[in-house]
Amino acid sequence: MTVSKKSMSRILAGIAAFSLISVCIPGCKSPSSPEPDTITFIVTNDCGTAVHVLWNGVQQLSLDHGAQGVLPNPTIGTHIISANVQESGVQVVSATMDIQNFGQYYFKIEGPSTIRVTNTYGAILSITMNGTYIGDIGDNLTHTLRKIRIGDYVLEARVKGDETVVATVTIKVDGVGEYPWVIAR
Amino acid sequence: MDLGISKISNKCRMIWIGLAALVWLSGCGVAPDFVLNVSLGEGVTGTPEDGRHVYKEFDTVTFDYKPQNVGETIEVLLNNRIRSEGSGSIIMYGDGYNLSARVIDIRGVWKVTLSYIDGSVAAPEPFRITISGPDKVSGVFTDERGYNGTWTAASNSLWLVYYDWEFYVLRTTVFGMGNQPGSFTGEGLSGSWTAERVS
Repeated sequence: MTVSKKSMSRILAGIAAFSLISVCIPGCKSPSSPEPDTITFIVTNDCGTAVHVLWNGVQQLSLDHGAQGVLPNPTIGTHIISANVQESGVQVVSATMDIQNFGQYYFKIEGPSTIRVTNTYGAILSITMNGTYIGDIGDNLTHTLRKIRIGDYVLEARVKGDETVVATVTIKVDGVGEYPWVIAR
Repeated sequence: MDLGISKISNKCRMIWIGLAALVWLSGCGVAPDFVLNVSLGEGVTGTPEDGRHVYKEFDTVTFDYKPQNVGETIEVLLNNRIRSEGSGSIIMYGDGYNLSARVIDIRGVWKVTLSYIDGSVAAPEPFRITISGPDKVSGVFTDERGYNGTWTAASNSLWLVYYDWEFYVLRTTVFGMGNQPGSFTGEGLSGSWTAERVS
């Protein structure tokens, strides 16, 4: 009987400790399960530079490249989210968000530009960007690289199978647009 | 007289004990012999060598096969079902195991399916590519949509590089082609891809 009481008290203590831990540790609450009557709007900046995030034209967040933030008090309805480069004020994105339900929403500010490479060299070329091989391009073709982040890019071209660089360029992407590179012999 | 009977009884007892020990040893203590048949394809070297090998039950057999030609990749099949890379081991749980090792040849027709990380980008419908070449480590491929490229398979690392489709590069392993997803980049986008052998 004494042993049984001890066992019972240990079990009860264990249950109490588990309940206490579950309630007290904030990490136990899943971030992907918000309260059903709230809206969580998470913004990620992947555009290459620091931006201000505007919600219906009003600045709400300032995010460095790679940073994430939560919009304060988003509401149900149609809204315009936009992002401007902190340094230059250039707008990198503007989108309409139609929020009809409570829940969790994500918005990613991506690289806003494109680089278009045209090969008139007369042979298949292998292209590297900032030292990383990105692919090949046949003669008399144009290939596009999308979602280019703001920043500087060094592109090099080699005849496929050869290590010798036959053309190189540095492209400074500082806004939203299309940046061409024509490779000629 | 009594002594004589007693001696005979002792001898009989010893014989019975000996027989019983033999029965016990043959039934429980001594592992049976199991056969492993090894078949090596062309261009494969390593051990165990091609032929019939005998091992004891529960023996661990280590195999290690290499391609004769640089850059090729080996696959090993146990009983034509369990697939492994060139090096590994098996345990002899049964008799008559068949182990075969061969050089992987990816040439042929494959159905390719792309999946972009960015969910907002629509993937193309699955398409067929035909991989060809003079050997098992490099060559060219054609895409039924009209695109073309080159492929290299250096020591299990497989690259399919388009030269006329927006910088698309498909990477995987030679061993994983058809079994495991690979990764790709193209147009400044990225994702994963799978391949299924058609012929």
